[in-house]
Amino acid sequence: MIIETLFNLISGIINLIPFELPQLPDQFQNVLDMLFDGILSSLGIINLFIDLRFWISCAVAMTIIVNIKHVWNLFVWLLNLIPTVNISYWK
Amino acid sequence: MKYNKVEIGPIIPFVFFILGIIAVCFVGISGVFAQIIDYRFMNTTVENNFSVSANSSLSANTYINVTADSTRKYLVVDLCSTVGTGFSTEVISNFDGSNTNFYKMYYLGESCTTKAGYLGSNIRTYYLIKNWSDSGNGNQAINNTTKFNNALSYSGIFEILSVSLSDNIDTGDLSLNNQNIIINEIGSLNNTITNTEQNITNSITDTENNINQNIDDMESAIVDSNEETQEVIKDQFNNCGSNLIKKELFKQGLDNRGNFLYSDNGITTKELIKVESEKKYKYSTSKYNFFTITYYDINENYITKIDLYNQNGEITIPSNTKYININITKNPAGTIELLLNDVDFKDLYFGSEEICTNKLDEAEETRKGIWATIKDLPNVFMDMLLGLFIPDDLSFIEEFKEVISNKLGFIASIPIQIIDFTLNLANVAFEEITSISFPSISIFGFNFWNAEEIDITIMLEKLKPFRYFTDLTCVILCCRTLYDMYHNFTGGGAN
Repeated sequence: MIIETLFNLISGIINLIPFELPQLPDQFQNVLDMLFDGILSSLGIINLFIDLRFWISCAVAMTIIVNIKHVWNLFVWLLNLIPTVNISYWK
Repeated sequence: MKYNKVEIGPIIPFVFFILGIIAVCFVGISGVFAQIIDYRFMNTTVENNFSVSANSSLSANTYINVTADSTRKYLVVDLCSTVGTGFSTEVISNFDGSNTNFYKMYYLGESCTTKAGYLGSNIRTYYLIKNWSDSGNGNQAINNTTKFNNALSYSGIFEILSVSLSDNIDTGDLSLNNQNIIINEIGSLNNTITNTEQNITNSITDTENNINQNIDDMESAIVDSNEETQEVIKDQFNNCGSNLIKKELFKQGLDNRGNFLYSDNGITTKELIKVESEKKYKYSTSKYNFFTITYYDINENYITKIDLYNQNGEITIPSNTKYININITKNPAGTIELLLNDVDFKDLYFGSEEICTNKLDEAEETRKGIWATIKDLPNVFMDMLLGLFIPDDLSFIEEFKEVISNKLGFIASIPIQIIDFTLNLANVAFEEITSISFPSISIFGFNFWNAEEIDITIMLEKLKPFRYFTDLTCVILCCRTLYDMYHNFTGGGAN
């Protein structure tokens, strides 16, 4: 709910911009699509040598554990967005 | 010695990004790479459900069994033959396949060595697949047995190097070699006709027997299933609780003006839009939706339960429908429309099987007492907390992308790509990867090569020991990171 509200808030703010910037030309868009599709497709090649599921799980877990302080503070910040909630940060 | 504190955790995603860039470089040479894997390593051209089995050495009764969903024209068999130029049309011309025919053979002019160490010559044979049978899923399929009958008439060794499917006869490099032995179908025509006639006769007999057997089985299964379904659904209604609960259920489901009242599994009054004039219910969904719609056609003595899974477009509910259950199992996508032609809304009840269970759960909850409720509080609290952060569906991301794409234009292109990439990464990485897709590379209208898909199941099996080694490396990195973190928390002490 909080994340969705944040996204909606950002969308609302962006909607206030009175003009619309031009889109990227199709050719460049195609190159971007090709690049990102290539990365996704080539995960199969990486998967030959490393167990992607295991590595990504470990990477996510380690990132959260190592940055637990920042993660906790982000969590508290999100909770503090709710009126009447006031939790102190981890300093 | 001062311990060097390095936070490995945040680096790992960056390493993945670098690996991704390296992988793109792989794609850059995929045209060559694919061919190498395809013809030299994997020995098979990947088709859907392609499988092949064969004896490595040919004999009078050597079979190549090929199964595939494919529309390829040729079955390609590469051999290592010690017969050399004496290997003529007659050796493999007696190809015994009802759906395929021997077409061409090329003497590659390259030497090879058999497993027993004998020097041989590379032979590539092509079999024209004349008639593909319908596999029933929109593709064409072969499920053939190739037989080399006359191989024993020549003394020598014939070893199968690879079996693949192809659209073209590859004569590019072959034309440079000394000899191209081209064999047409005429030599094998007589045998093929005889065999085909016999096969057709056998096939018709077998098919008739199979059809009769299947009809018997289906009739029996329908009777069993129908009786079982009736019992299950009647039980569901009977076990729902008291009549009071049933009435309450129906009352909650829909009021007498057809307004959808109850919320369950992501369906709410706001999301389900009633179009009064068309007697239609419309539910907006997003891209990755999985859902089932179940409706019950209830007559006095007969209840029919119908499940519709992930069906796109308009779903029409029969006029005598009394009870509809909509169960969205994942975040919504696309549009689900319930078209209620000639249905009197006051007789139509929306609801869910779960409501019965919920009602009984509520009663059970009351009976459990305060202590049981307190014991469940941590779970309830966790659910509430997760509900605060984790949205029911990700449709708001689609809306967000649309807004920033419209307003920010080219600036938003890369962020949108990154959002898509991140969402797709989880799907791709956590599914079993059994093939590599080399994308079609086309820049500014110039096509470098076409898309190709390579099966990597064999390669994965061969590289499994290496993957164990990398897994071990990952564990060591994680342990080291945790060790560093421990000393960060405890203020050192590892000197």
